[in-house]
Amino acid sequence: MFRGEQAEMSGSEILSTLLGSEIRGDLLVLFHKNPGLIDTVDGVARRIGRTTVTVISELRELLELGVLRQKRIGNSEIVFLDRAKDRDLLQSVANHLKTVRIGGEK
Amino acid sequence: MTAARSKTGASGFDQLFPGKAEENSRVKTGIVELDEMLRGGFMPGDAVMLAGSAGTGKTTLALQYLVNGVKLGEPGIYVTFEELPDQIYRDAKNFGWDLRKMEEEDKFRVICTSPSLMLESGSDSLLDDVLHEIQPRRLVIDSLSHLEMFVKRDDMRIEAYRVIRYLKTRGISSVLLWESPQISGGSFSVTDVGLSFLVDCIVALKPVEIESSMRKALVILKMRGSDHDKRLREFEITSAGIKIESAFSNYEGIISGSPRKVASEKLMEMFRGASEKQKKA
Amino acid sequence: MRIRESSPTNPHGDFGSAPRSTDPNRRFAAEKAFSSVLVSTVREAVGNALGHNVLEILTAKGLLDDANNSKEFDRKLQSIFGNGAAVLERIVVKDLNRKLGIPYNSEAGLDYEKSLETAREVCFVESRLK
Repeated sequence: MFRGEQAEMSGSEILSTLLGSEIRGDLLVLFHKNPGLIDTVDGVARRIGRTTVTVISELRELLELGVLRQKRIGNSEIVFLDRAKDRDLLQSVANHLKTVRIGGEK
Repeated sequence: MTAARSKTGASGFDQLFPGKAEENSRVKTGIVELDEMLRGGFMPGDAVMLAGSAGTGKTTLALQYLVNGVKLGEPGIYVTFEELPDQIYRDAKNFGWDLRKMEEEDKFRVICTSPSLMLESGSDSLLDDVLHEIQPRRLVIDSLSHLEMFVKRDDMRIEAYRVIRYLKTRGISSVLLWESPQISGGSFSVTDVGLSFLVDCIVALKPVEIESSMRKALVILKMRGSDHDKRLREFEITSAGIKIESAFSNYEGIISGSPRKVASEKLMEMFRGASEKQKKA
Repeated sequence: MRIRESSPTNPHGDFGSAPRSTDPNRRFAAEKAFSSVLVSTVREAVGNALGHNVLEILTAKGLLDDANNSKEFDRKLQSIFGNGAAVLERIVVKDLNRKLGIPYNSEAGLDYEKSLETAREVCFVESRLK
């Protein structure tokens, strides 16, 4: 897994990525409730009651988005929240939602 | 009265790792009575062990130490190995401490990780980023007992030494929680893996049964380089955190687990003395 | 009256066949309690998933006004989040079920309206048993 570099995404695109699956939703909730969480992929999967196999591709999406980051500690790859990037991404989402009318009309 | 530290430092650690500690400033806990017991606070850069059995208030005291540090302009980090760390935020809120707000202000961090990762990294790189981010002066590890579950008994001292050294070289005043099944006797050995000598200060918390009710006692068992209150003090956990009350001056044997009223003992002695006199007469 | 039987997979027993309370006051109180739990759960779900700024924006737009009307709430979520609405609804149901002690199956498809109705009934049964 790697942290990819992203061209500037729109708020709508960021939202689609963040809420792209139930597992991604679970990961977001986990890291937002515990922003200081630092754990391996196995550890993160266990914390949300999933297997590593089901979590790994979803984690990759969030790593590529930049909301999560990855690092090597000893023999382990760990993941953790990039607080600054998370704030920026959520601000973009917030800015997008300000323009959306409930009911679908813009 | 504060006992002066030696020129080369009160301990081997201080000689080898001077860190950023200022000689004459104390690290206040912010709990007035406890700071008085400590003659102003902990020594800067010290590793403090906070030992006690489950439910004695170690986490509350440790959080209060960090929160009060934030109020004094000293950022802090709380390192936990718990599975559900978000409970820490909830528990702190019950005392009026908004940890999330402090995190937003970059004055505080709750770091949740696994003991095995902490041991694997030797904490060299696990905490590096967050230390760089908020430049903490205080740090709590909850708990060393969790680390013990992941190492061989003989390796625990080495691992604890690595953690303590890492923090001391960065001038961080640390509080290391230790779950002690019992603390009894006058011994400084509150752990069964020989960690007492590695730390600079030991604060012990103990539940005591007195007159059929459970009360809590706090005592400073050890404090390198400084005088300290040697009395056992009662404390309670209030809605605002730990509050330290008066000493258990009417009781003895509290640490040994058999508390008894001092007055009644004296009375018994007097009675026995009078009784023997009568027999002789 | 049927005796409540519970099992590890159905900890609240066969609540579906338990008679509904005919006491309107009790029903009203239970409804109010459930409503409160649901609204706070929805707030937490949105806040934890997308942050408090987003939550405040959506609150200002009146999204939470329909939290108790599952059909309308679902419609509004769909209009804002598209496919992402289902993810948020799952987060709500998961957390609501956890609070009420109802098992949650992530493999099964989610019917948001039905899930809330189940949770509502569990809440009512619990209130009758107190």
